[in-house]
Amino acid sequence: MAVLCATSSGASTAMRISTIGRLCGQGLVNLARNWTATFITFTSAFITFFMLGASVLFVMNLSYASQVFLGQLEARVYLQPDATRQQALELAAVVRGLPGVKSVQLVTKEQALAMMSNLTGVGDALAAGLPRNPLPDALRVRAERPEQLEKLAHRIEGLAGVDKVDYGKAWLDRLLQLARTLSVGALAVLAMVAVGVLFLIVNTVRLTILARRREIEIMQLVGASSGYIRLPFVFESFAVSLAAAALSAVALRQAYLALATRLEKALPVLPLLGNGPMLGNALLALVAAGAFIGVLAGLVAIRRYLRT
Amino acid sequence: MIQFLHVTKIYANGVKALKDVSFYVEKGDFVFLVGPSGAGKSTLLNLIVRRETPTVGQVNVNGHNVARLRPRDLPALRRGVGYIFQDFKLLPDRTVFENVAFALEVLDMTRREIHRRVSSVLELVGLSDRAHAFPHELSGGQQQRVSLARAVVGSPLVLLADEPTGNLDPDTSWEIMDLLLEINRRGTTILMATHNREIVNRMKKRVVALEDGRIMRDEQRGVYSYAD
Repeated sequence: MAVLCATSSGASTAMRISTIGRLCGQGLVNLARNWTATFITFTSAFITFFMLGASVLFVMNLSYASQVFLGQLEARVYLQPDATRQQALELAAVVRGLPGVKSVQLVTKEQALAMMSNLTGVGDALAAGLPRNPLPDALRVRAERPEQLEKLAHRIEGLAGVDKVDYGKAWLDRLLQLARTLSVGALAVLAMVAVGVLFLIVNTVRLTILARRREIEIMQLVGASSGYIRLPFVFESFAVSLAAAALSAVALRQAYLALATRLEKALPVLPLLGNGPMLGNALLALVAAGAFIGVLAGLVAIRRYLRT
Repeated sequence: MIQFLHVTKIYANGVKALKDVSFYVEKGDFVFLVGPSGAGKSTLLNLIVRRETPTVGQVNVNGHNVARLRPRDLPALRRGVGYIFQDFKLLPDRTVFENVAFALEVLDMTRREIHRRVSSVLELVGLSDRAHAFPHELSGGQQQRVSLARAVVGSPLVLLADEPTGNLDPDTSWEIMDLLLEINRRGTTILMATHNREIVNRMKKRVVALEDGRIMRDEQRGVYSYAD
């Protein structure tokens, strides 16, 4: 709408592409001119994005490890000692047909004895001293989801021919609880770090805006639209934040892979995420978060100066 | 063109800058706002472009109630009103040409159109040969002429001048006044707040005298004051 405009009554609020390009270029020029402020913003953004990324990787490994551990949990179904091999096979087939069962493996009493003697190292002597194999046939049952294991165990207990079912009740409950607590805590820490990054960048961008208040005042005076005033600043904050996030993703990848290699050597039982698509996606997400936080920080930082 | 209806302005700190001010400015008028410091002259000018909003009353510019404009209509209001100041408000890191072009870039004009208009307005203020100088390389009078060029390059209907000769010596002040007269002759309505007694008395234009936030006098072909 033309309130009072002699010249620009036709000027709409939409900007030409070339203007947008020019304003973004202006933003880059400003970054170069205020290179000390740029450097400080970049460095602090780099450090915080690195921390953010590191906590993301920590959380991902935590959840990966708990998945691996929980996936290894199984119920042991011991058959009655007088059950025949035929009955054992039939029972295995029945259990395999239950909903939520992932796998069923039959461990015959002979296998069990062999395993035991291997484990204790005195097996042969022991076996030789026994009148007959005291161990029953057993089934090793895994559930599709660890949470289902308890229900499954109760169900199997009621089947004919089953002596008892052992599914590590105390262990299972504690592990599930731990995994839940850890993932909630880790997510909370992650959210706090993300908000911290936002505040940090808002404040550093605000400093550069403060240095150019006069320019903003004159822009308003000559009738620049808010979008026009905002664009260079938002682009600056976007560019710095994106660059910092990208560099921190590269650095994080190197640091993580180096650390993972060492940990794998020192603690082979620890399940770690390797250099796979999961890692790549996490780092890409970090870069995307950098771009998003940059735009958001620029908008938040300039808001106060546009209120007139 | 500009209408004040019972305008009172009280700042957040309790200072009453204007008290029940009403007056009307015709299109093409040249009006001096005179009065001691703190009389409310700057506040009055700032109300016209909504750098301030009235506490009570109404300010109409070209038939629009300024206080009721939506934020996104403010740029259009400000493009129609040029503004110059005692301290010039030029950007120190830009050349004369860039400072003036700034006001047109904001309007999203093409390079060529900007170049044409800036060249023509620099000629009007007599600074064509200093187009690539920086503000600190210019005298005060030249800087005020740059600021004037920036204010009128968009052909505003109204020009507000807040003590435009406040930092200038008498000769330079007259150069600025001649330019303002020329701009007024071309149809731009001018409101000028000033302390400069000699200029007001010589120009024989309408004078609105403010004192302690009230209009004490409003005369066609007026003088600065009757005292002394």
